[in-house]
Amino acid sequence: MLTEQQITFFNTFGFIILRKVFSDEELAIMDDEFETSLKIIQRERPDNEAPKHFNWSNLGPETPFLSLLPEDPRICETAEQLFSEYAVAVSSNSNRRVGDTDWHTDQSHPHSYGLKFAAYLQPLNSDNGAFRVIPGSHKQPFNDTLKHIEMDSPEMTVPYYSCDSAPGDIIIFNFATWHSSCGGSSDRRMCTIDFYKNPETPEEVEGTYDQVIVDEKVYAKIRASGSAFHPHWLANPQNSPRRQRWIDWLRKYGFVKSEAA
Amino acid sequence: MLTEQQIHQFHTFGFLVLKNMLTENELEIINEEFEKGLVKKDKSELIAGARVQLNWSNLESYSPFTASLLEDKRIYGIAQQLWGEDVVGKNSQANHYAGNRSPWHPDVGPNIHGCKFVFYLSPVDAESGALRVIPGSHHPEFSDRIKKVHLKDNDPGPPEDPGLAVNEVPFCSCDSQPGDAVIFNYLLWHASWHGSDNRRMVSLQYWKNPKTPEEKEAMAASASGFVKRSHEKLTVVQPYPEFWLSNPENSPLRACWIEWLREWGFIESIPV
Repeated sequence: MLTEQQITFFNTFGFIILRKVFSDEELAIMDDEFETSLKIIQRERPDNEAPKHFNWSNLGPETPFLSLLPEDPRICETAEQLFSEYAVAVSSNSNRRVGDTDWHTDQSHPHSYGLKFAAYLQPLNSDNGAFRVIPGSHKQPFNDTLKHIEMDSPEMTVPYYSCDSAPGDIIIFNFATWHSSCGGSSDRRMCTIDFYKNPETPEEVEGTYDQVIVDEKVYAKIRASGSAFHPHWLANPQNSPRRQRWIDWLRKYGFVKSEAA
Repeated sequence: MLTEQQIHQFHTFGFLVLKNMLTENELEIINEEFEKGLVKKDKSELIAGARVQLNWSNLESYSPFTASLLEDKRIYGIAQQLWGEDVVGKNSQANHYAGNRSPWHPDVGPNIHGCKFVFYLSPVDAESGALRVIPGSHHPEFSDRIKKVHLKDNDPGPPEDPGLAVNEVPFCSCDSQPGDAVIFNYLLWHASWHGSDNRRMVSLQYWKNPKTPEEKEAMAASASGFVKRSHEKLTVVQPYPEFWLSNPENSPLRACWIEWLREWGFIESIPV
């Protein structure tokens, strides 16, 4: 659980780093499950295709540890602390990236709010692909100001804070926080879990419906492999009340289509 | 002079690092003048606390070159680009730090606008006392949020959770070499960490000429406190030396600034 000061830190700067969340034993399992599923994904791709970004869902039975992470109290209770009411887990993914990532936010609509938990599986610093962030950039008017700058222009020097991390650490950031990475290797590995805020105003409801469309486009653009919501996860074999609440919410807003049930 | 991109960058993030603004010859003179000032400085006026700081005005007769930098077009011209043609040269100070850190702070309160040029006289980086800044924190909305974060040095929380040390606050390090200038908005939150016990810095400060009622009110309040604090030796506020006020070279620019400073009440009386 986060302390009051950690919550203030997150709300002020738009991110926080939690150290040593996962044990060495857990990391070994995560590495195994990542490697196994990456091999499956690579087999599905043509030999000459080497995308910069492999992305796949961890909610299938072949990655049992990773599929349960959204419900791990270290994760979901932290998300609930930060959104102050129930937060909904909308994805648990693995990502393998190559090279740099330009400056961007993960927010698609001004009234759609989300958090990402990112666990890098290798040690990273500012020179080899660590998560770079502009502290405080999740809030207005700073957030909008940055949209009007050519952030990735060679003439622009964007100041940033490097979230250096070791395996086992988690970086949590607000979707609206501007972030990037630079100098990463050709095999940078990361597991992510996304939470959306339950919409409360008409604008937030609109933002949530908009997010459904955006998520589908993003999934298609990066040619993510498999379904975002595996039937095994949707079947909720352990009858988890929390997961069932999430599934109901995902169906209500259209993130899960009826045929996927 | 700054490019449009640099001006935009300054107003967006609150700071800029400009490389090689001063030549090696100029640095040699500045170092000599700094040394003279340090020798003359009354050591009983040491500002204790984390900084362990001695500071003095560069507008004295024994540091004519450093004093002249305030009116140097390379520097003053940039201040004009950022704050308008009628920008006012506020001060030039020398700073000697023996403490290992400067706590997080902005230099002024709301509605006072302007910038400080800082020149470190030795190479500094994030782990050796370089200026650390929180980009964008000069925007009032962001600054107000930072004030709610407990900081161990200036606003500690309860003993079980006393707040963030200087190095626990996310930052961008303005690494610099001698001759480089870091320019920052007075409202930008800044600090330093792991500085040596002989860290030397020269600063040049400029004010935007206040235009709005809020800016004029804030400047008047600043002036009323300035004279009083400048007499309380243990402060970073230094009074204007008579040498500089006498304007021996009859600089029209300086004369204009002195008149402005008198009108606003930053100078008590005309020196004899």
